[in-house]
Amino acid sequence: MSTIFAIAKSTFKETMRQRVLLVLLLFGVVTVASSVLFSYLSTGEEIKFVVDMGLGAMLIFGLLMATVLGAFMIPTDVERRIIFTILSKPVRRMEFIFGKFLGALGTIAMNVVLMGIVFLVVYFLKNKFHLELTAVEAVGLVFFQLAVILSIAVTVSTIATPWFTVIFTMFTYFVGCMNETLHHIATHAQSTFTRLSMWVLTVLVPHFENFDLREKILLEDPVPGMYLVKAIAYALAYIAVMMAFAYLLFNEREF
Amino acid sequence: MKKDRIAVLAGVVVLLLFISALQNNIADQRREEKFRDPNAMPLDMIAQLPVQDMSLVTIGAILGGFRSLAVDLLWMKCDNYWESGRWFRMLPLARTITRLEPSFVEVWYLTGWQLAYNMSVEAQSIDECRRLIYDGIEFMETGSKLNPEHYRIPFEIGWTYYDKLNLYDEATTWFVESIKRLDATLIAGKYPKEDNIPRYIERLPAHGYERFPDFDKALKWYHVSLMKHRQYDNISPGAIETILERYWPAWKIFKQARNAYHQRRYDESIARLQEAEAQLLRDWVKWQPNDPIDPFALHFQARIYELMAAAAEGKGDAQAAARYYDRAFDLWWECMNERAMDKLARRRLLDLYYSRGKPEKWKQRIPRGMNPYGLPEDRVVGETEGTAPPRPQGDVSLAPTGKYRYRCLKCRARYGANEPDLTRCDRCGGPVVREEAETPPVPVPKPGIKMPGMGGPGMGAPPSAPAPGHEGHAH
Repeated sequence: MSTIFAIAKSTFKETMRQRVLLVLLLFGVVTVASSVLFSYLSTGEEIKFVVDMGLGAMLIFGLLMATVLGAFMIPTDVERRIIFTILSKPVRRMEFIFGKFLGALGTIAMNVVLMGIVFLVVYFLKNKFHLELTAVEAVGLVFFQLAVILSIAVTVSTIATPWFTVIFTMFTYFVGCMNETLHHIATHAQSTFTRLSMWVLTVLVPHFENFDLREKILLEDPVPGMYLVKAIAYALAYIAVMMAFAYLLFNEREF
Repeated sequence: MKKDRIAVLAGVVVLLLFISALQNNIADQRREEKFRDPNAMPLDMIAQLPVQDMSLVTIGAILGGFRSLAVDLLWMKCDNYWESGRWFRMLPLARTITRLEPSFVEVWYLTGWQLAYNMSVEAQSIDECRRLIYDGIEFMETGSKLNPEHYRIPFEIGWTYYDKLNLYDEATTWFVESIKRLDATLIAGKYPKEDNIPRYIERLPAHGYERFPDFDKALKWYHVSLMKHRQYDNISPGAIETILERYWPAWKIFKQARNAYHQRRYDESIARLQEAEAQLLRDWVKWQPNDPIDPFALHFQARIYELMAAAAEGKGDAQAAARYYDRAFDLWWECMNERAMDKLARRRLLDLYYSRGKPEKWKQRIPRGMNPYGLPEDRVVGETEGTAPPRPQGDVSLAPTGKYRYRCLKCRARYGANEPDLTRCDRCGGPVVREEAETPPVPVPKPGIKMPGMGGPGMGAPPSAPAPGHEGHAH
């Protein structure tokens, strides 16, 4: 356990220093904050604009951060031969992968917290100085969504080049957003093969809409606690599957 | 190692099965608790959207799970078109937005308003104008069905019927629906977030029914408004008092006359109607001695004559019916002339004209200028340019000069007199009120002399400036 945390800690420190991430964070914060200005350009409900743009910006920039972090973390270590130093110690490959993942997750968490604070402040001001718990829950689910994306990126990066990992992760994200359509095809396609393959795809590709609470924020409807538990359980289970795949792939890899 | 791998794979399979089961559960809960608008267009139908106004970025955003953001950007674009007056370009974009996100309520009623108000005025024909207004209403009705909890869309539909078309019964149906929804929202503890929630919705049917008139319904809605919004409503108490003072005594008699008419007691009905008119005029003189152009009283008076005409027809007295219809027509014509926004009067005038078989004597007084739909009215066959419409039969000047101007409430004659306190009309004996004219009275030409702007000798004086509007009465 201490090995995992040691790797996580050093990964966290290293990733926090990366300029790319700092730039993305800066853009993210500015975009979230500027949603209040853009809301004045919209006729009608300004709060909708703030929520859509705020959460959307957090997701976009978080997605970029998670993809870049996950895709370049391990290949960079391999390229610089740092991995040999680490693996020559009594560090199991799984501990290494998991430590790296946790470190990157810490960075993502920090960024989500920063952007989330800006978003919640803007939302609070725009919503007549009233903060809905649903908005805080939505920020939390954004974090779990990004954690799932990070796990996919880390897993693929164990065997692929960084740019392939970026493209694959982005592609998975887009397909994950269209899971409804895949489910529709899986239930209504005529060919058995199509139905089966679509079903497998809907199981393997994560359903990112599970983490979307925008409608509930705008309606000021409380989100049932059980739903949050299920969504988080879903994210954790998916991350566990990805980590398992990462273990299987990384264990066999030869350097 | 091999055992480890098998164990991990088994664990993965178990987890995937768990994920699959959990996903079904989450999807069911999302559907039941409406985490997502159930009417939103599914992604596999995205190809049906008109993409000419959407950039690749927007389409990518829609596909990439940023549908709400893409919708906001499209709405900003709509706003751009609106600001620059390109309303017809805004329409396909607005329809796209409503398909992507039907719960975006503002799009429904703002687009409906654009159709009914802005676009209809730019129509090239009356039919197109009428079609655009009803297109706007239908568009909003679709939005109302897809957003059954939101009060604003039925309110806007009601307002369109009320303001644009002066169809008060239809307007009231929608106002009632809006009130029901707003009350349900408040009872559920979810106060709408808007800054400008209208607290006058209950009063709008009352204002409409006053004009109709139907004072029973008007009073009912004023009382409802007062009951619900006592601390904000400072109009209903005055309006109730006004109705009870000025119209209620005559209205009671009118209802008796109407009952008699429905029971085919036509003579009694006519007698009661004459009593109702006399009472109305007495109250008019008593409460509004300086206001001969009270639209509610004029509308009421016109309705009295319409019912008199119907009773006379029922009796078989066609001559009397024609006379009464003429009086009704004159009164609606006067309402329409005095107040350009009185679309009810304009419509009643047109209804009477067409229902009476387009009598020649009324032809030249059919409205010109803007019609109820905001377009120039078609010219009636036989009209010539520059012809001033003849004044109603009753509206004649009896005396050329006079320090004070009077108007008879019964025959609507206008004349000048030097006495400051005339009470009876020289022509018909009806009550007169003194007009508070801002400009000196226009002299009436002697027969045979043509004045500029007039069609010919004996045409009477050109229309005078309208009398000052009501004060102290709710509209």
